[in-house]
Amino acid sequence: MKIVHFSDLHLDSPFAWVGATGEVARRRRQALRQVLLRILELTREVGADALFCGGDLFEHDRVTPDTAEFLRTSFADLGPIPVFLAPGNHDWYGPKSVYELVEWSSNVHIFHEPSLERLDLGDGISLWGAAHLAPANTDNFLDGFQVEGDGVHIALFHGAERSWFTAQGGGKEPHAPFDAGQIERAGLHHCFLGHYHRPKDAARHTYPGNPDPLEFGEDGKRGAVIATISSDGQIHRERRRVALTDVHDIVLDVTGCTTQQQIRGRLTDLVAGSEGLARLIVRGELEPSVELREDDLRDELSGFDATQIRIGEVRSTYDIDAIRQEHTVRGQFVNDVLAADLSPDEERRILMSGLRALDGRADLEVL
Amino acid sequence: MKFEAVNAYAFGPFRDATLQLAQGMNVVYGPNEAGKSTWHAALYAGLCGMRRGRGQPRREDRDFEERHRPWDGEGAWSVGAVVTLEDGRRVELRHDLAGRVESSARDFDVGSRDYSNEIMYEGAPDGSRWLGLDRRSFLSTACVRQAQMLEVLGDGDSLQKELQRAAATAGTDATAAQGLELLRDYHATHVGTERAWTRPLKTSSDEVAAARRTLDDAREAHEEYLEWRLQVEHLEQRVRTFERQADAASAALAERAASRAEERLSRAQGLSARFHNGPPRRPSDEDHLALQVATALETWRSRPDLVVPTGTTIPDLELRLSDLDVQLTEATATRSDEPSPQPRSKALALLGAGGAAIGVGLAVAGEVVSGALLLVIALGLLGWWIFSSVTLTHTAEADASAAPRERRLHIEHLIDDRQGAEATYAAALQQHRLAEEAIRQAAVALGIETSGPETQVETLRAWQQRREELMAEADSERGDWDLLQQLLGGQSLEESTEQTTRLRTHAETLIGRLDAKVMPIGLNQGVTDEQSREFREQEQEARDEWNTGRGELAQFAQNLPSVSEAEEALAAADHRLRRVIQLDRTLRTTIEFLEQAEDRVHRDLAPVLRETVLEWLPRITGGRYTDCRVDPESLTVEVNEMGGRWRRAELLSHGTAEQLYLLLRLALARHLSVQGEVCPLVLDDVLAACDNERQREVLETLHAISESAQVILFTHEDGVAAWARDELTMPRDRFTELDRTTLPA
Repeated sequence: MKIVHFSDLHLDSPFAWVGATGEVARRRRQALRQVLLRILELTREVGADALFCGGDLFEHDRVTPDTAEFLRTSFADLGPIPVFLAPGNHDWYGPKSVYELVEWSSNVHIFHEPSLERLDLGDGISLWGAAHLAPANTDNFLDGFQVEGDGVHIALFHGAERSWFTAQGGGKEPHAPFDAGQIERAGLHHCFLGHYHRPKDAARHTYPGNPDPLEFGEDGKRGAVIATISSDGQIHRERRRVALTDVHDIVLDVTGCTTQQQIRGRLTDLVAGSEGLARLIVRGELEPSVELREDDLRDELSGFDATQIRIGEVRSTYDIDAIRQEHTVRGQFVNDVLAADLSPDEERRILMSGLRALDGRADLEVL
Repeated sequence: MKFEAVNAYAFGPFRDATLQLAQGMNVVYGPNEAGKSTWHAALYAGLCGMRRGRGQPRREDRDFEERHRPWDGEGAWSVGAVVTLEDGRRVELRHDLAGRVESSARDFDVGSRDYSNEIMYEGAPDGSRWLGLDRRSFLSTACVRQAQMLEVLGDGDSLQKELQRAAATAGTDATAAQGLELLRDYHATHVGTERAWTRPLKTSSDEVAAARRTLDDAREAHEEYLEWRLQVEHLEQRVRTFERQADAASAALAERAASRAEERLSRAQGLSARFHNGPPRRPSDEDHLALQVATALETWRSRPDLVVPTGTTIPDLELRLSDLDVQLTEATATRSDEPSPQPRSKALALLGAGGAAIGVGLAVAGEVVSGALLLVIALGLLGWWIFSSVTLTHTAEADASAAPRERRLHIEHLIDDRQGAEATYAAALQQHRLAEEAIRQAAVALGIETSGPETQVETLRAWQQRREELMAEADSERGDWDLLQQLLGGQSLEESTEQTTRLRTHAETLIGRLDAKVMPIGLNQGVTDEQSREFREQEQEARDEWNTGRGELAQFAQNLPSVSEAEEALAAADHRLRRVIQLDRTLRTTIEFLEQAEDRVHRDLAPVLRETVLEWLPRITGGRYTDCRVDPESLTVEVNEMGGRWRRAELLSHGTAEQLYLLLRLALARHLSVQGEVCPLVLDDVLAACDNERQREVLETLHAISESAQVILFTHEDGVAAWARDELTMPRDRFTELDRTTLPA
């Protein structure tokens, strides 16, 4: 049996993380829908017997009527290929859920119990699935669970495998946490999961990762997983990229630039031919005389749909050590700032603002 | 630190030229275009070199290069200096100003010892670092220009500003006060306060508040939409419930109609098989025979019994009467007037006999029914008369032995009775004959050839009975035919079959449409049309309500604000606000630190300035001013005329002010230099605007200062040159006269 598995599409997600608003953000949300259509097309193309979604298909608090109708018609069009949906913590199942209110086509099955329920997929394969019924505090689906009957047992749910939690970085909550060892002990051959955005192909479980970028700095081969389930429970996986959005992490080293024009020129060269979403990280040694403004950098990034600008390790070419030795207000100021209990970023800003003011400059806002 | 020499290896117009300098006071004299400015620049560059940064050079660096590149334009651009440090080291600095790679700071006595790393600043060795200064601050600390001197004299606040600038940035840039003012202005413009409604802090806060309200509204609308959608879902479920109910009723009715139609069809098919040739034929052509037979049999049945009159015959009675009359004649005279006792009875007998005769006549004439009827009535009247007569006869006979009158009456009665009986008999007999004739005619009509009325009657009765049976059978057939027609309802059997099939299909279709929730409990066979209509009406009402709800929901959904967009707008507004808040915090903290640093440095500097001034003040003012104070907040310098009032330094006479300024510069140089080192003073034509007396006063002061700090004075003033020739003595001091002719054209 061959299935296509995906999760964490987060339809109707806001794109505030990249600073996008208005039409730009709307285009990105449309791109998420296009990604779903790609997944459906992939399902047909590879002749899959079923489509699995491991939750967070959309965001309950933000989902629009249009998205609900889009999902209904898209999954109906996939018929008769069955679609199995396991609601997650963002698209949790409830009386007001799209899952409940939409009249789904007959090929769509939505798990709606807080404990694993069984479906017969044929070929001796049983599918166990469960749903989150609330946005938080969902218990471990595998606690006390044991499969029943012979054959191959696979599961589909939205949960956090504990050992992989730390690798996800910030922002993830351990919803429905479980241990990888519980899968085998429960008699399950494999779990198709959702929740973690970082992909993982473990021996007995699979996280496909978010198919289209949802933040900067994402790595790993994310997308849809084509899984072939053998009669002995062995899983063969193949990953396919389905993303439509290109995300770029651009590092601009301003070292050696003595004018704003030089910086802009260097940035123009860096971003030539790129599009999508961009995060610009500025670093290097910045000449004190150079006036570097966020708006000027954004001008050079206008070819992207949305951009985020961060200041990395930008060091001023002010010789702080030399200034510290001055018996001047400036020297005293630098010494006092450095002696204060400030964060590195705050310290940098205050030093730059103060030194610029003492230089008589007008650009006192420090990036 | 003291300069020993400046080496212009390749610098401006000079190539391998050296300017030797003494440890005390140096006057470098030369007319215009003799190279004073070049040596001044070479002295600076020989000590400090030039920064070696990445990228394009700064503008001041480009200007410096333009002015001091070797005039021949070839080869290296190199300058150096030999300096003596307070720790005794003699260092030869050499700066590769072109490539800035080969620059070095080597021990002049031990050439292999390189001190470059001690004084690396901005990529190149900078000898001013030994003073605690750098290329920029050395210029402002060590170098005094003519313009500065003039400014002190011309601007009442310039001395204070100079001190403040020196205190703030070693004189390189703004004063701390100016820096603070810039920061405060920037804060007011780019941050503002919560009450400044046009400033970023207020506008950004308002934007965030508005965006948050928009988001709250969007979330509320979203929640309302979901709630509304749930309600519409409930309305739909209600419709489905009524629909199922109505559909089930419709299906039940359809099922019932189909079943009934099938039943009718089945019966019709059964009946139809018997009527291949159309409707049954009624034997209507025998009706007249049946009536004739029936009448004949009825005539036969109703014929009276034949009672043959018995007893005395009429002739005998009449004879007896005659006898009696005779007897009576004799007595007639007495009783001849007595009336006949039975005139009415006779009349009835006559009426009956007449009626019977007419009845028989009618029957014979073919009016069987009316004849028979009249005959029956007539026979009734005759019967009554016979009964009366017999009764009277018996009474008469009983009284025969009565008196003759009574006997005659009696005999008359008897005669009457006898006549009546005979008439009755005759009538009955006639009736019998009529009956027999009717039977005979009926038998003939039926073709019965039997003889004898009795047999004929039996035959007729058998015929009648068989016919009645046939008629009953025909009636039954007709009834079945009528039933068939009723069952078919004006349709043909084929049409009825098709209709039944349609009804069955319809019923099955309706049943098939019923969902699994209905079918397990079966159809309600007892449902009525009225109930079905009520269910449909309920369904329609629910559907109307549902459609209204859906329409309103669709309308609501069209105007539903996007939560994501509201979140993004809030995030953008919040980003702007956070940027302003961060700027606010940065600027406030910067101002706080700067104010604190200014206060502390001024408090440190003020006593240094006072001590330096006090050391020299009586000497340069001829004992007129003996005390000095420096305001640590503003660095305002005031001097005190012994026991008199305090006067601001810049308000003293020009000569005194100039000297005081130089003293303060010395004090600053001391203060700004690291402990143990003394920064040289390099003065560029600072005495150009002074008269001879003031020149001398200043020069003497400088000469005195040179005891503690090396003084290098560049001048084109002849008076200064003359003073130097007279007052300066080698090796402590040095007078150098530049020759214009030594420079290339």
